[in-house]
Formats: sequence, C-alpha cells, structure tokens
Amino acid sequence: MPGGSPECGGSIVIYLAGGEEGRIRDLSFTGQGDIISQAATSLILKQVMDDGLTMGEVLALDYKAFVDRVGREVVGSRTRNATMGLSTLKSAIRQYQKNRLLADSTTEPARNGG
Amino acid sequence: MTQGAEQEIAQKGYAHPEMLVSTQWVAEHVDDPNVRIVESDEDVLLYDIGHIPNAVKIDWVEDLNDPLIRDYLDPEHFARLMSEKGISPDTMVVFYGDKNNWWACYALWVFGLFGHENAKIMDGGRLKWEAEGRPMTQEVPSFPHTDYPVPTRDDSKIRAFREDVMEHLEKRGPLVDVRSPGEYSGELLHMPDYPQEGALRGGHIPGAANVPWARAVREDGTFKSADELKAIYEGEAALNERDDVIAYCRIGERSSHTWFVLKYLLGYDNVRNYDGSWTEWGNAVRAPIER
Repeated sequence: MPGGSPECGGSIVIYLAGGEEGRIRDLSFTGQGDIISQAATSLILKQVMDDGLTMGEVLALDYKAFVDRVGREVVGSRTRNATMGLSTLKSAIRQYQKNRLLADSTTEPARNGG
Repeated sequence: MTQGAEQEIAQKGYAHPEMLVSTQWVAEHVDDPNVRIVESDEDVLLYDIGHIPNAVKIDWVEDLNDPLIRDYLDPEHFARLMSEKGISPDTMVVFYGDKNNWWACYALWVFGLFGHENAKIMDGGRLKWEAEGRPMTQEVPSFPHTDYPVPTRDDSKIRAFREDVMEHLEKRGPLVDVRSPGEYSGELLHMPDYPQEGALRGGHIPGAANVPWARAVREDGTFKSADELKAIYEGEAALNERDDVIAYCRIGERSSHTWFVLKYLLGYDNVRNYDGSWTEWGNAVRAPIER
C-alpha cells in the first residue's frame, strides 16, 4: 500500500503479510522522504510487531498519541509527515480486509492465513 | 583560494553572479560578523544531525509561515525572527540547504517579500559542503539579538496570486510549470495507488511550459551555466528575458528555485512565483485546465 506524494514531500510503500484471526505476520516498508516521515514509519511498524498488535488494534491506534511518542518538539507542525506511516498502514489493513471479504464471498475454498 | 572558486561561478556567465557564493567563500566567512549563514531544508532534522559551523536553522514551515492562514508570516514576526537569529538589516544572509538548495531558494524568496535583499545562495548546498569533506557541527550557535526594524511587506514584485494568474492567462503571458511530467500531464493524479494530497483535478495551467525544476542543477547540486540554462528555458521552453513570467509547482517550493534561476542567473526582470500553485489551481472551481 503506497502513501504520501512521490514527487514532493516523501512517500512510502508498506508491505503487510496477514496472519490467522486478524493477526499481522510481517510488516516492512520502502520509502524516500525526510527523516521524520521515514523514521516515524519505521517506529510504528516496529511498535506494531513488538507489541503483537492485531489489525483491529492497529486501526484503533490514536494518531495524537503516536505523534506524542515520536516527540512533539521534533514533529512540530509536520504531523502529516509523522503520521504518514500509520495512516498508510491503516490503509493497507483496510485493503487487506476488503480483499479477504471479496475472496471469502466467492465460492472458493477457504484459505489459510495471508 | 576563494578567487578560484568565485571565478568558477563568474565563468558560468550569470546575469547576477553576486547572488551565489562558493562553499570555499562560506568556509572563509563562518566567523564573519557581517554574514549570517542560514540552513533551510525540506528535511528539517538534517540541521540537527550536522550543519555548517555557525549556521542557524530557519525552518520554512515553523518559522516563515503564518500558523493559521495559508500565507507567510507578518512583518512584525519577520522582524522578531531576524532579531532572534542575530540578523540585522545590513547582514548578508547566505542560504544553503538540501535537495539542490530547493528550500534555501524558497527562504531567500520569502526574505525578498520583506525587502531583505542582501541574501545569497551557497552554490551546491549541503550536498557539496559534505562532498568536499568540510567540517560540520551539531553545536547550535547563539548570536546577540539585533535590532531589526519592522519592514514593509511588498508581495507584488515577486509573488503572483490566483487573480494575477487569471489576468496573465488573458494576456497569454508565459507560464512555467516546474513539476514532473507526470504531474504536469495530470497522469499522476490518476494513479489509483498514491493518495495524492491536494488536488481534485490534474493537469496544468493552459499554455504553461513544463520544465522540471531540477533540470537547472548539476549532479553536484550546483547550478548549470547560463548557456546551459538558456538552452533549456529559452531554447526549449521559449521564454525570453523581456517576458513577464510566472512560475508554479504544487505549493510554490520548487517554483521558487526556478524563480531564482530566471531572475538572478538569467537576469529576468519580471518573474513571479505563484505559490498557491497546483494545490490552489487544481482545487479552484472553474479554473481552466489543460492536459
């Protein structure tokens, strides 16, 4: 799932591998942009994996709390840069869930995890 | 030694070579009380990782913008910022930064709104300073506050507003769109993947020539020579130094770099930066668009 603006302001692509029961098996990203956006993306992906958050829990994560964790002094007004990773991750999860719903709604046999 | 480096700039044939200084010149003036070196980056944390000794940071987002409305800071705040950075009206301000001095040019342009014209760009920016292995420090200098009288702000000479662009269109005035070809054609907006922040419509302002901003610089971050620039802006984009030109991009940051090139390196008397740019035009009801 891509996020940001590749031409101006930085962009990332998040790769998500889903697990059983709404878990996240793996997360990674590529990107180019300022330190705030790239480091904050790295931070959130690490937090999600370290804390073993489920997709539902990630969707419920609060942006303000995350920016506080990155550090208000560092982020200043650049909240968009700081939250690019989290917002793109949420988009990736929603897309993943949508894809699963569509797959499950066909008459194909049930799949295992991601 | 400085002579050699300044000669290099002089040899590039610019209309106003005095608007650029070399890394060597800056190295020799880090302690000059009449000079203030200012780092202005897109990646604002770069300064904290390391900067030219005695350079101060000016954060374009936090320091030069109005916190509420989409505009630059007012004259009182500008004067206060200058005072805090130890800049007086006579101080020569030398800007440098990342991405080919892109944001350094934007900061220099904002200073121009307030009449602080004793300002220059360090040719090659951060990239060249680092590539030459010159010293960098994390120490943040502190300069005594100066008396900077509240200036008069005049946007009319170097800034274009939406109404100005409409008028310009009616006169078929030349416009230069400095975004990437994908943004210019509107294609990028229709990439289903990237959620493009900003515009509801893609394309460009009718009649605008497309010259991506970074075509003005060499790989080492320095500006191309006047001849090379003329081949691009005049040969390809059919601009002329007697023209009244308006440059734009997405939020006016890339176009201020091109503004600098046209105005100072090629000596155009009438160049304005339309900082509303595509985030304004591409969302404006009934604004004409071409693809």
